[in-house]
Amino acid sequence: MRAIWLIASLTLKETMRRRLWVASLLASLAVVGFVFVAKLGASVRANDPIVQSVVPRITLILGLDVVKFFGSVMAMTLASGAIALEIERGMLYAVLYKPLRRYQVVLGKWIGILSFALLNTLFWAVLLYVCVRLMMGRAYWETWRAPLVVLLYPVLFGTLTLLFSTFASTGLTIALSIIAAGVAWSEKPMREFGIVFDIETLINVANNVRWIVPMNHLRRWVLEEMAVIVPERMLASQRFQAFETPPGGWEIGYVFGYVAVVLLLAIFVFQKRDV
Amino acid sequence: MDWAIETFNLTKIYLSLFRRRRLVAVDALNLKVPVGCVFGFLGPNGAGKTTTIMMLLGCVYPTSGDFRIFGRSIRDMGVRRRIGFLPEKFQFHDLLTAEELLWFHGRLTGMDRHTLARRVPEVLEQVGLSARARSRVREFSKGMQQRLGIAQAILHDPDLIILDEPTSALDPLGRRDVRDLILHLKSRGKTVFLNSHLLSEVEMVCDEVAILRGGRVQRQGGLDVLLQVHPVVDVELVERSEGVMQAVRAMATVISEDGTRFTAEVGSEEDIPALARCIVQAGGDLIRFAPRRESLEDLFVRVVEEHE
Repeated sequence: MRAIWLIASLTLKETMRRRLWVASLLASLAVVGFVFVAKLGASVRANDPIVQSVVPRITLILGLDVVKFFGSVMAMTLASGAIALEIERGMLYAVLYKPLRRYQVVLGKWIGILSFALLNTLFWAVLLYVCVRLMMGRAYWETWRAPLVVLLYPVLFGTLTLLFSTFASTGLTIALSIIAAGVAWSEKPMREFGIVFDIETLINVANNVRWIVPMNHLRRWVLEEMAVIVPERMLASQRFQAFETPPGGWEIGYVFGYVAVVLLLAIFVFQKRDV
Repeated sequence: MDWAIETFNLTKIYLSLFRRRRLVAVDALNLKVPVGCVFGFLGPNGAGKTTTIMMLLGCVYPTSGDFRIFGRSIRDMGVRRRIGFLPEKFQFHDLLTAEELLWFHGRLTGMDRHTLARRVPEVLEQVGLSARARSRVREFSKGMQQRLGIAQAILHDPDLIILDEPTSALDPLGRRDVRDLILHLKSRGKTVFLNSHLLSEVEMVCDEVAILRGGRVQRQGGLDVLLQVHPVVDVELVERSEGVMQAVRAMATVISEDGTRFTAEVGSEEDIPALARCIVQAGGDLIRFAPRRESLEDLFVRVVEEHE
């Protein structure tokens, strides 16, 4: 157990010292800038109730999109170097002969990467809470729930990339994780095109893709959580027809199961390979 | 005899994708390294040295055969605690300071905080890095990183230290320090398994060597046994005397002469002491009397060429 925590804390420490958080901080400054400008604009039209309610809600949607994107990209970046790069640079040779099991290395890396994702998400949750609080004049505790679901984005992509990292080179790991993200992202446009142009094959492909990389379940879950404070007509632009219903319990369970299986697979592959 | 390392027909075969090509990196390797010995593991590039080391450390899985470290499997965590390793190609987590890095590796080995607080400054001093304890590893030169690698390998006071090219990035002073360190470890009863291309260094510190070629051990044994002593002696006298030279010619063939120096060949190794006595008895004052001995490099070249 100690080895897992040592590797996790080393991974987190290294990540902090690499200053990856600077990108997140810069993005947060952009959101704060947006809030400031929006607040100024809203104060000009102080009597317009639509403006008063729309601006903070846009802030929330925008903020969550930023967390999704940065969280996922950061987790993928960290995970792609976690094992493959450390083997290529010879860092792991000085670690693997120590009295520890290989699964402890994978779990330590995973926990370290996710700890950073958690810190990043918490930072954004606080920021969004404060922004919405300032603009709407009241506290919305619900603003905490959506970011916590958004945390599953880096969990999903970080774990998947860590699996690639256990058997591929760094370059191939990055390529595979980009392909995985592309597959996940393509589901919604494929479904939309399929429905609009009545292409059944495309719809079928989209139906399968959602199980290969289950990002869509998360997206719909985030929309569900945002619905508490974001009016339905604003979410409608992000939803698409009946497929965009809130995910069922088993779909959420599938995401957790998927992450667990991918992580176990990463442990299994790393256990079996020559380093 | 107790063995630090024993391998039994240890074999590693790498198969290419789709198994079309196979590369035998290590071929039925049988090796025995006695406890407390400085053991040189030699061979040309591609001989299978690093693959063997990686198998011994559990990083690479053997295709067949087995090995024991101190009589136990590498899967035994207790055995792993007794090993220290400096990899040939390595890079440390370079955003950590030297001190942090050693703490990390020490904790991984199971050392407690109290012991580490004492031991970390001690090993940094030993490898000449105590002044840079709080510097980040990325600021270190390659030689300094190699010293830090050695510190990491000996931090937990292991019984078996495997050094893969420990002096490749070091200057002559650094090499001498590593040599002294190896001899110091030996004096404390530690086993050192040394893989190095610097044969002169190996010759100075090793008790035994194994020469690997094509994944197989071609020669193994003590240096005093492996290195042949030629029946040729280089002699230097204070003053040249015909009487001495006649006495020498009576029992040996003089190959070359240059003033007070000459080289003589006797019938066998056993005749060498007699030649020395003969010169002294003929009134010659010796400055130098050096039987020629095969160097490790000569042996290495001979063995490698024999198996080409």
